[in-house]
Amino acid sequence: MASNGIGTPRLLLNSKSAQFPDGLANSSGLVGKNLMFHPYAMIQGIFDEELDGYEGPHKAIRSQEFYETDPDRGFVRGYTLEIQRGMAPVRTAMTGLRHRRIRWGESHHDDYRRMFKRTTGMVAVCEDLPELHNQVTLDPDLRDSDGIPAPKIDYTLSDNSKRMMEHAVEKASEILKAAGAVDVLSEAPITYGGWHLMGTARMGRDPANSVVNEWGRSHDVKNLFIVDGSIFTTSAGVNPTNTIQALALYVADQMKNRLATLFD
Amino acid sequence: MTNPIALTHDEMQTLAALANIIIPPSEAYGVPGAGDPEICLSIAAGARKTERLQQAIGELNALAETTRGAPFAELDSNKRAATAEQFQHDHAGSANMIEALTMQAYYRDRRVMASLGMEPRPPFPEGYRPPEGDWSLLEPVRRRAPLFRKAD
Repeated sequence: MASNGIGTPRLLLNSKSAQFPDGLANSSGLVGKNLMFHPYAMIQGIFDEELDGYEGPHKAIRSQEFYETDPDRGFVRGYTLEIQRGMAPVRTAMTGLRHRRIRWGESHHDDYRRMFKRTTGMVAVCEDLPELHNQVTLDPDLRDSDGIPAPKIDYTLSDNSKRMMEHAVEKASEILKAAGAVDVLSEAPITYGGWHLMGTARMGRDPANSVVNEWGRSHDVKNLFIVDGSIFTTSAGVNPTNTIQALALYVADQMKNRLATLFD
Repeated sequence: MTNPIALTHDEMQTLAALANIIIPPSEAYGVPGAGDPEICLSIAAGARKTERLQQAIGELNALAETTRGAPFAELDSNKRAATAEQFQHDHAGSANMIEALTMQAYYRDRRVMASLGMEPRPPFPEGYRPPEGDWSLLEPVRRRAPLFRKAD
């Protein structure tokens, strides 16, 4: 099964039967729980001189200077700073308007040219914590075109993640100003990204507090394997796709190596 | 102005008038305003749902008629500017949609890109159309070691 952090619990919770009254593979009650995203902070600096602008790879440098827990910072875990290239023409305009650096009217062209090819910055990919109250359940009313109950998402951005983003904005602003930025824009959390879906069918050895075992097989249903973001136990402060791919290879290897006793 | 999409002539006039307020022409930079006919068609064509764009234009005209007694495109420039400002405040969702469509159309216009020192093509890899049947661009990929693990 590979429907990711919302699709997988939706399918499992919809798969109720006399044998599995709370949904398939849900004896722990954890299917759908611990939903995690990646809260992103975006920080951009505007420079007086022309930069390389929109050319080059999108993400050039990563820093995990603030990745590990430091109790002095007031939050646990941390974030990756992903330094990005500048923005192409349309994105420059959209960002400038959203942050009121570019206006409608006569000033538009001068405003725009103060930003275009003169803006660069970074995002902070923050590690969200697993929390039981952040969850995917089934919507009591909403159904899809086949009449199947839709997922319902309950999520509250934690104080820990908020403090982490505030720290990221402060540190990234410091970095950009030290590099010569004359103006800094920030947005935390961004609304247009970071919606990585993780944690809702977590992996673990103990069937009482996990949905799949340490090699991806459901504790309750011996021929059910999950290979997507839902089996993450923590979100990490990096994008999840490579880890999902690695887990898929790992679980496939486990299946192959255990073929003789796979469903025991 | 030919109009291949569903906007009426009056709706296009209103859209052009608003687009020219958002981005007026500039002699200094040698660029047209966003109300330029070619750009305006591109703005209208960019709408995911034409009905939603028509609704937004209708809201702007209704506001102009209610507050200043005439359709938006018939107002003088001061009244248009004041109405546009009020539109941003009172109908933020519609104003934001038109603003986004305007930016997407304007900053890919070849004249505007030229004024920014850009050629109207994707930057990488060079953005030129390769000769028909020439697959040599793929040679580095063919020479590269596999990125994948072969199944046993």
